[in-house]
Amino acid sequence: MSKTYQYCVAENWGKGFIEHEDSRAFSISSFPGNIWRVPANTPKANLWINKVLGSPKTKDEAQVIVNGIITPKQTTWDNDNVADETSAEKIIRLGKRPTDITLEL
Amino acid sequence: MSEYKTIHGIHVQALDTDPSNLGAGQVWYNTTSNQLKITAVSTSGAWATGGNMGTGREVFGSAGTQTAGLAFGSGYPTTTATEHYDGSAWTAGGNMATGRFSLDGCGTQTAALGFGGYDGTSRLNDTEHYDGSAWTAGGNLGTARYHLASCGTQTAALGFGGYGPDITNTTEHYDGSAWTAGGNMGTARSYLVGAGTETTALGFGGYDGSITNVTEHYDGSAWTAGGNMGTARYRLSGAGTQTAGLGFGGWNGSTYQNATEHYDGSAWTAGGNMATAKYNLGGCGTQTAGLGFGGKTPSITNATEEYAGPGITTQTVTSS
Repeated sequence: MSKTYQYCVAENWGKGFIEHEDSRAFSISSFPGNIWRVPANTPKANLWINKVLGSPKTKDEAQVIVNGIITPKQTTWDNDNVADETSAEKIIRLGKRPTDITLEL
Repeated sequence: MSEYKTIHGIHVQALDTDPSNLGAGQVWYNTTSNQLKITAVSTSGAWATGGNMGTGREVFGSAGTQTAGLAFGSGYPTTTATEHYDGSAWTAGGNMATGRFSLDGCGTQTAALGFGGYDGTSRLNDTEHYDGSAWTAGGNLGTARYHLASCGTQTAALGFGGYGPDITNTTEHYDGSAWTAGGNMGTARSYLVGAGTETTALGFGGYDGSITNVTEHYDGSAWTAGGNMGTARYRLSGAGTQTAGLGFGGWNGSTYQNATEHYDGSAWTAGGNMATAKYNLGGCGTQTAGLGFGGKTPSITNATEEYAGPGITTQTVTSS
């Protein structure tokens, strides 16, 4: 099965990390753990990974990194309770419970 | 094969910096970057990364433009911290008097307004004015509220919706010293976004018991229905005017959103996607030069993204 996406780990240093020209040329999406997803087999996307010094990851490797961020946050959210607090009040205090993210191949 | 000079009557110009005031179809060679560049017309928009904030934050107030932005307050816990953006980097500004989150704000980097919110215990009705370096007290909202929306300037502002304590449809006008009641929205809601001015405002998205895509227009006294957003969402951000609005990010009930939508006064259309899907973020600027910053991904982030809307774009010619 051919890949639609490729993944890498790179730290967003801010200005210039993604330029408008990059995001007009191909889609760039980030996920927890400094995971970045760009299209596979796309020369400009490959050049961008080189530019940001991205460390390539397989989809499964990237998923492990994402889960490693989200799962502890879910546990922390579940265990952070205040007496007599309603679920709506908890959401106001903590925000929504972090949801699972499933990366695509 | 024809040369460029044969077609255009001139050679490709060699310039040490990219020109300004560009039109479509221009070509030049940048002698500093050694790149051949052209202009093209983009019918969509695109996000690029901007400088990272000093402190990641969510549910905070924001104001200003893409090159003169402002972020203030935050949860959770509360903060009084303010940061300024200059188009490339964030620096610390003066602290608010009252630490708070889920507030809203409007105006410019040097004449901003922050009001409402929650301090972790109570809904707030107090207003603060910012002059670019320090916050001072203004008049109190009639209804203490949080997760509200705002638009306008420091001396002609609008605050509407939010929790006060229940989800409300009320609107208040600010004249620089006091708040007075305005017209009620058709749909009471919280977590919505405001854009435009005190007398030509836009309110969109939010939570009315369900996550909504409803848009409303305000004329200074009454709200009327506008076009619905393509994606119902709340905890989003936005910018622009009543006839050139921008909405981005948020939560649709199941996932963080990276989608951007443009409003033309009657209908929303899709724009470019943010690199990072997030909610509870700040936003300012215009439909063609927007700024989105902070928020939750689910980690609280300090990332900034800059939006270039539809229009003339500069592109580098490469061999690929």
